[in-house]
Amino acid sequence: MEQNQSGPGGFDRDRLQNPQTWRRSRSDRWVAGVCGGIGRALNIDPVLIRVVMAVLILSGPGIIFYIAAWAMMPDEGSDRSAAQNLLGDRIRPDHPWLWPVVIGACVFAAIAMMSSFDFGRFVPGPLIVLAVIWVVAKQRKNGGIGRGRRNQYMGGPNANWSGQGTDWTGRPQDTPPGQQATSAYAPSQNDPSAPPAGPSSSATQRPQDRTVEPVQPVWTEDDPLGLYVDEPAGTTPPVSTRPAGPPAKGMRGIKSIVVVLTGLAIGIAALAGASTATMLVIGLATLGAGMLLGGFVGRTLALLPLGILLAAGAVASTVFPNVPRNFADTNYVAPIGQTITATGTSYQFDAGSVHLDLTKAKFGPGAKVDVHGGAGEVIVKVPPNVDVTGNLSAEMGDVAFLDQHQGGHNAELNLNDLGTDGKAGPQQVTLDLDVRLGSIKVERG
Amino acid sequence: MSRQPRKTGPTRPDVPGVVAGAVLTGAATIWMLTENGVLQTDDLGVTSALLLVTAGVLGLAASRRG
Repeated sequence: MEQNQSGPGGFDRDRLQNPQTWRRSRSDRWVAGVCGGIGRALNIDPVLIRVVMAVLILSGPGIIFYIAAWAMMPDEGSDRSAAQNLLGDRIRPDHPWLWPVVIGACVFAAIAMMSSFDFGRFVPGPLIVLAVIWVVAKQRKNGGIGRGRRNQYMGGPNANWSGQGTDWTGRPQDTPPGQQATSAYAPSQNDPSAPPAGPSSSATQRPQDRTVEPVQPVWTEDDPLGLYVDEPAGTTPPVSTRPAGPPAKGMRGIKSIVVVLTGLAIGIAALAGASTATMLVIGLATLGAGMLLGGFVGRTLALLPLGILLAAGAVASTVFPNVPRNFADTNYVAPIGQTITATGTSYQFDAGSVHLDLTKAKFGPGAKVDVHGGAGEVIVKVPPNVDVTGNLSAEMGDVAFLDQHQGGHNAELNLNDLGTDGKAGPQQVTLDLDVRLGSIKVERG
Repeated sequence: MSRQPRKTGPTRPDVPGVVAGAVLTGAATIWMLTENGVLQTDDLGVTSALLLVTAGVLGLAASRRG
């Protein structure tokens, strides 16, 4: 597999200013080839892009960025994006305002998601999932049309790179009917006085007149790598010879059917009031069943990225039932003599860490420390002689208190320790610490 | 003994698709059963292994069919 690496030239600043030239990679893709394509376009390691994208997705807005890039970036070897397939040529990929508007909308949505604004009510998760599935379904549907265009290119009498009548940018191309069209890169043959194209005519031309030799592509196989095999016109079989057709691919449209069924399943689950995680798992089960059964009559492996996306969404929605907005990085050291009371020492966070050093604090009657977190780490240090009671729990992760340790799913520890003096009093504190995913550690200072 | 020619064409199964579909379906099923208390989280290792074995068997069956 070809891996993008930062070349000697390093980061390509010029390509950054022309995102309309970016293409999704087909040789270096995990999901849709967005990160591989961006890495290739900017001449930087796609692993770096993936790490940044993973952080953005886990924190919320990345999914918007990814979907937007997926919709806007054409696949490698193609000049039509998913958005163009969906909306037709109403979208011009070379429009100077297109990408700034898209990026601006994504940044606005990201800020809205991560702020305290209740954005979730306006864009619920199921709606996003259904929209994605609908886009994919439409893209699959239009893919048939695209294949028709590809066939037209591969062997049709008026074939060109992007279908009859259009050039690379989708603008109309003036090609007189009945005239042999060549690659869009080839010189125009509109002049009636110009010699006809082909090897015989090229022999009559001066060598300096021949800029590009017309080629006649031939369908050779199902083009699994998305690379069209071009052969010189001289090797083209006669018209009477039927060119080799693509290998049988089984039932057509099976993937679209499966995607639509998956969307229906998620929609029904949403109407039934299921939680987001349950909806996504139901969608995943439907998609998997469709892939399993559909695999016997057609090709369904291409749906795997959608399955991975649903599974990742199910995991994320389980860890974060709501859009994570509260990110904590608390490192609190209680000053000498500060009194911890029954209230006032409570922390809640969606992701991050809370470190509390209470070794120099005093503990009033009924002193209590509450920390409730989503994903992250909690460390609490208490004085040696303070009695500690309470509970540590993690849905998935580790909990530890002195030499006691629990790990895995639903890890839990009940605390009842009298301290190093082994006697009750004079101070005591109740710890109630829990996280969904992560670790909790209680130490004595 | 003459060998029967392999059946190819439109009905040839997509073995990777079948295996991936089996894994996804099984994972979702295990998830739902665990969430509803039918399966215990301690059994996740065994059920996951069974799922992979089942997916492999289905893949073998699909390849034989093709």
